Amino acid sequence: MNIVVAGAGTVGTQVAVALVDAGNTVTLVDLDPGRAAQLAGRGLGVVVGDAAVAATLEEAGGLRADVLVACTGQDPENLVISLLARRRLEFPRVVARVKDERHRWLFDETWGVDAAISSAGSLVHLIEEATGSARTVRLADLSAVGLVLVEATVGATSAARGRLVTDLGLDRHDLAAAVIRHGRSIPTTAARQLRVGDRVLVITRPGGEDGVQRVFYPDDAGTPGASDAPS
Amino acid sequence: MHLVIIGCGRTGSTLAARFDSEGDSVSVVDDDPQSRRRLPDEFGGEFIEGDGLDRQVLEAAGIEDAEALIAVSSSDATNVVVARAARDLFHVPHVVGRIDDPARAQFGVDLGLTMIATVRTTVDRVHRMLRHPRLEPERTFGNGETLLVRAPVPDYLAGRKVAELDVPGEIQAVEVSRGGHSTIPAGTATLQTGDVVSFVVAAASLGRLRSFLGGRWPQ
Repeated sequence: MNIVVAGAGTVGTQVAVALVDAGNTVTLVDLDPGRAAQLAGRGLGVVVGDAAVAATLEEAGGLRADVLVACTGQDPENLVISLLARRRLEFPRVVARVKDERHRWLFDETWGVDAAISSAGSLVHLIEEATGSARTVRLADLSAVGLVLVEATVGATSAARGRLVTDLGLDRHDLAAAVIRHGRSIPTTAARQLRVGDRVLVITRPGGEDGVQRVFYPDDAGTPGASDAPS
Repeated sequence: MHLVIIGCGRTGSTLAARFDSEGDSVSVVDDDPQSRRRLPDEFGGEFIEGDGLDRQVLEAAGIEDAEALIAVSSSDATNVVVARAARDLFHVPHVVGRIDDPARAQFGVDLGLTMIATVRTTVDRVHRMLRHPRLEPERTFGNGETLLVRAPVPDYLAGRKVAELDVPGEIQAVEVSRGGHSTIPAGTATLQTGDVVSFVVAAASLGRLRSFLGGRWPQ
């Protein structure tokens, strides 16, 4: 995936490097030219500028990117960056870091935030959440026929872990097409109990990603859409 | 009325002191306890040491009953976020804030918030004072896109029709003062030496108006 990470502090850099290691194309945005120099040669794109300004996000690949991670050390900055990314640059997914838990009440879809993450968790957890969309990634747009193909990853905290695909409780309009385990596609019926690391391909309707996400991560606090989406 | 002011810097403390002296109820929020010293000794309002983005702090400051919220902290992003929360979540009737960075001023417009773009306003003002010294506006509208300016009529325009000064969408003569009396010019009204004319003008067309009036800079 093509991911833009705003904020090259300790957390932002760790997130970006881990995302690169996982095979993503990552561009870091930071105001400080010194940070850019330090990060040279780590397989990252770096843009020097204010991520809260549309032109900067555009330069970072805003119109092509799949996910924005607003990861600065200042919560209000993360909110205005998220809003800009969603409204002006139309990022499909926006993940924002919450530094101070007292600010969590502000992190919701009104600021364009799909998932709010805290830096308190382990880095791996952070990455899992940072790629929130990586758990249910829109792989192909079949909207011409009213469908999208998404991929949901079974993480350690997933409700799908240990369950049969047929027992997941997917919406009746959604279809689990395959399970990818150890890099191979296996039929859903042959997959038996889902394991951590499995990826499940689901065909759903546009906008159905949230529903798929809920099946896999029903307790995902801080993921707006789970309970706040207007019906 | 009750006001909540976020940020007790020079602007916040001065506003707090003024509204307090006029009998309004004022709560000022700042996370720096030292900032309290900017308030005058006689300040009768409340100073709350806390984070203006903490819901509990906002509630302690009385945001739920506030008639107005003023977001003038040193962070543009904080001002935008708290102003929007005040309007949309707490339904505060009057919300005003400040954005220093001109590159971020668009946030106020995009969100429909009344945000004073201080740097942009100062730059525009200084630029106008030097570039168009005779066209100091009586009043500006919106974020300064449209201005009301008054200027004396140069001799060479005497005898011309007032309507000849109009440029659709850019410049409109709306008032003529002559000998202590003011009139709204009719289509056939002509200009005389000594007239002072009020124009509504687009900021981008100030140069055009200035060339009409024969202004030169520097003078």
